[in-house]
Amino acid sequence: MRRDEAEHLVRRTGFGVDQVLVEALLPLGRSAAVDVVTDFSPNPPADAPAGIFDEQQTRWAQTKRLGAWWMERMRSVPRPLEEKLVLYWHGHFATNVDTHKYGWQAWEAHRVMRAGCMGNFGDLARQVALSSAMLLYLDNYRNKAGRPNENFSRELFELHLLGSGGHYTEADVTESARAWTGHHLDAERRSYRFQPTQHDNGSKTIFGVTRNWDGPEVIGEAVAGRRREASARYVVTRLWSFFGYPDPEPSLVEGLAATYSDANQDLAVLVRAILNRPEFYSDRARSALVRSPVELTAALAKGGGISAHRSQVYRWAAAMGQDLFRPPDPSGWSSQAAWISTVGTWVRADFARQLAWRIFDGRTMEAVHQLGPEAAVDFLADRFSLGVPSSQTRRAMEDCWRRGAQVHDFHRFRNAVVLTALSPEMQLG
Amino acid sequence: MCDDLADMRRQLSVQPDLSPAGRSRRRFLQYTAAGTAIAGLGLAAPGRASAVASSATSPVDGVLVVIQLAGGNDGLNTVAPVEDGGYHSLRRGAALDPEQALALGEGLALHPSLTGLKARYDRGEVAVIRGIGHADANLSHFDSMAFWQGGAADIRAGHRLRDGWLGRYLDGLGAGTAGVEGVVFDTAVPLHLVGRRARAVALPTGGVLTFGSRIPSHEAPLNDALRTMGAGERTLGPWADQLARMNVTAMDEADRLFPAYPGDELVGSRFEVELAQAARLINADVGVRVLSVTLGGFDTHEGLAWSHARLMDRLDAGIERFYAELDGVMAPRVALMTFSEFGRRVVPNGSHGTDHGAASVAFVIGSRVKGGLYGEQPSLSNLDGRGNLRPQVDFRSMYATVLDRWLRADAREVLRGDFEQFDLFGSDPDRTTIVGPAPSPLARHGYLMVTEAGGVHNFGRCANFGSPWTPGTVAVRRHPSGDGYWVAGRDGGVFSYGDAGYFGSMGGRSLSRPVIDMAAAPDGEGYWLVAEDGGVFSFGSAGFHGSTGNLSLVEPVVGMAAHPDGRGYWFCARDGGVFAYGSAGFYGSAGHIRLNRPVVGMTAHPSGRGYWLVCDDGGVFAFGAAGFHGSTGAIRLAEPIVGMATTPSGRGYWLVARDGGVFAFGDATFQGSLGAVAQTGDVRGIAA
Repeated sequence: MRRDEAEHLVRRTGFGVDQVLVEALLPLGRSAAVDVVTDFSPNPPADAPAGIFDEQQTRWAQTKRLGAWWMERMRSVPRPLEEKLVLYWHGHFATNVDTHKYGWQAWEAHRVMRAGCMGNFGDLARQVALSSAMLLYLDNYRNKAGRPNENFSRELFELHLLGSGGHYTEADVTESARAWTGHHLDAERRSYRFQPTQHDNGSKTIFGVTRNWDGPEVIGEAVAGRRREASARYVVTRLWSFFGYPDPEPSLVEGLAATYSDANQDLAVLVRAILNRPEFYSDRARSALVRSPVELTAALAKGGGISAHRSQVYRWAAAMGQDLFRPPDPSGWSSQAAWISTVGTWVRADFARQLAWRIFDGRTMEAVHQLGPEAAVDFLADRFSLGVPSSQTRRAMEDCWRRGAQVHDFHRFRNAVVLTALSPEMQLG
Repeated sequence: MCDDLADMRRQLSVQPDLSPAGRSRRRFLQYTAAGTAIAGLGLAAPGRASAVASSATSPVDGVLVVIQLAGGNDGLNTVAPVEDGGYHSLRRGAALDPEQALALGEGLALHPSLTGLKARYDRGEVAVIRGIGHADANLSHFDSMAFWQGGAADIRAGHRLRDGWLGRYLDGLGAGTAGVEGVVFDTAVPLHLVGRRARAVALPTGGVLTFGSRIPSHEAPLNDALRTMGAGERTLGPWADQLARMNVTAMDEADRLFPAYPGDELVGSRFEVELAQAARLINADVGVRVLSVTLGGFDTHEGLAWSHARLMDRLDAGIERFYAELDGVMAPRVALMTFSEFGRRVVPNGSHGTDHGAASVAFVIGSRVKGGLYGEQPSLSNLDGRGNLRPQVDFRSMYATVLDRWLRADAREVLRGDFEQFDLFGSDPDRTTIVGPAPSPLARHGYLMVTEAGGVHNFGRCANFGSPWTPGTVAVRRHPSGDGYWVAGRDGGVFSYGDAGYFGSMGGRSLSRPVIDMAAAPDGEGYWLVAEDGGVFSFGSAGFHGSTGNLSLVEPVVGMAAHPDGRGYWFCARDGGVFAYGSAGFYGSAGHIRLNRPVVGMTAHPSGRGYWLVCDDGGVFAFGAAGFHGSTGAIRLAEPIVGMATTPSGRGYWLVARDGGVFAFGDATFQGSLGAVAQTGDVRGIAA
């Protein structure tokens, strides 16, 4: 595998670029390299973060702990694709801790997505649907026979399974809401409990089939039954847009959808297929994605060698608009251009200043202070994995370094880190 | 419809500009980059760009604050038909209590939490647009929001949207990517503020801006480097150049917006804080025309009564916070408009909540808004097939009204179609009359105008404390402190604002002839009203020194001026005759000359030893110590002159025309005119 291809694969399947992993992939062919990045066995077990079940703490304190723990994994595990997939599914099956009763309910949903991110899509969707986080977030825990609540049913079709492409009708939404009645929580709202007396056992017509549908069966029908093709295209398009580029060609979508359907909606097969496609390595793909705040801050903390805890990336990503466990709405976070904004730039600069101090204080880049402009830029480009910086970026950073000769080492270094963080090379994913 | 959600999300935030126009613009930028820097386009040549020019709004520029109620606001419980039995039976336990709801008339009542809004409604500053919605809407949040944010006539579900209605408005302003004409408080720009060329900027609330030229000097090389980084074009995909240029934009904007960020942290709910920051940005007057603020959580699928009350509390608190922060000078330039993607189902679901519905309600709020009920309340006995209220008003009617009549844009072009409009912003026919001046320490740098419809407009250093919006207004007079004024109506009614106190009026009394002018007592503790027949009514410290009420005048009295010692006054008649009373001396009149045009008003010299008369063609006659500093007598005016005011020194004066045009002479300085706001009513007078 060529170095640029290996770096692209590692960059896209992680947060920042782990040069150790790149070196390991160089001798391999594409398919073998993909097998390496999709093998999560070298990752340490994802045991529950300490204190997550401590109900003495507020939900927000608990999720802050969870967020810091997760972002440390993003930054440091040897096979970060696992974390990246969970991040993807967190946006796909968005839930917001503000609607939860306990902070650990966010962890429970997180664990379901972690366990299912390389499994069967229908299983994943069903488990998420019955997680306390989703039952609370989209109100299904109060969806009762006779007076159905459509919230979950609508988002299930539009956001989780099919997309708003005309593959279901308003009547399907209403009838599906009836099918989901009774899928509630226990009295303390801790975990899932089916309440038979609240379930509508009447016949419902969904996707043209009239019978006594039950909620989870609707997922099966959408994913693997009468809507399997539409669902496959939807899932493929969304995953490809996350890993490759937005608006994939129809032929690409059809090809991947066929692979995925043939594999009975096995997500591991789909993820490997995506990473094996030549289009994934195309010029179009290389520069198509803007890093989200979580991706950017994790990559900067990784490049700087500063832990998630010390760099406070969880808090800074939230300030940039990506607050983990609190997505803005049921469709998760926007992408690409949504992250290019004035306020985003200001906050990125503030974060970079703070990070520069941590790096300076931690002496993880001592060597750079002795270097001339050109060598210093090479050093930073290597540490922060900027690839080959564009001429504008290089000139800007070199000029700044040169002019910084009169000021304190720290100020010169801090300006360089801010420039690194704000460079297009760093902000592209 | 869209094939996938990523599309939808992209549509609802910013889009890569891949349109042919966008591409050619990029090329344009590339070419110009080699030459000189273009301030305000988010692009700079290497080196430091020239300072970004501040572009303040003029008093006639309407500013729009858009409040998005995200999630689908339950219009039926925001403005409830509390006297309709059907409302209570269909809404069951979730109906508002008619005892607590705030009655608006026509059987409607506001949610009880909207107390601030109710007070504004009672003052005639809130337009309630009932039954607003979209005929082809489906019930998806995202599709519906795309309709509302896109706002064009030709939108169909599933069309790819590249721009939103306010973005297209910003395009029409020629707003650059580095401009701050449009503002949103978020980390992303929502679709309604995205144009083909222009785009609103996302700003933070509160705090300090540690970016741009105000950073410490040792960071100065950083700013130059960011400009270097932002110049030219990379061959690195669709985003790299946008990212690099955004750094430059962010610097320029930080510089420009610095005054709106005094460094303290704003406290309160996020919505309140955002509205407070919106007010600060308007106060800083850096050219912001459109601001967007979002209040989320309206997707009330459960517990409607409780959750909606909390949301209404927040909405009300936010609006009041906005006005508390907003500078009185800017207040008349601002209108607030609410919108939401849809209303909610009439019958509650099993969780005591309401599912997605159709028609809802919107508010347009502001001191220049003509308050009242607009549109039509949707029938509860004629619901659509899903049990939703049928829309009565296309939401683009509200947009068209705001675009044409408030933002002064071309609604047809922005919305790509014609929509019925409402008469939302004050207007009325006219009858020419005039008013005289009131002394003020700041008068060289500011003046007030009042229109026949009762709208008070302020220019320069002169605060606006509100408008009576009463048709038949004849005069405005400044309080001597400069911080307040009185407005008089032809029925003898008096409205007092700011430092100006209320000392009585002829309102409700029967007058033989209408009141045509007013003069303020120099101590600020009283005033006179004068009627067309020369009858004088004195209030507070203003004493009675005689009147022509017992004479039979050939021509009506048209103006009055007080002597600066407060112990006398003058009238002038249409034919140029002058009548002096008390300590006010007679220095001559035009009564013996045959005038080409009628006299329309008079103004006293600050020394009390002279006065001016002005004719409707702008001709000026100066008497005694009052000097002649010029006139419009030789200019052909589009509209007649209706009033005059002098500066404190007496070495200059302003003339104002019926259309709000202002002409400054001597040491009077031009601070703006109302020329463009004709629809708010013809101008009746000026006061300095």
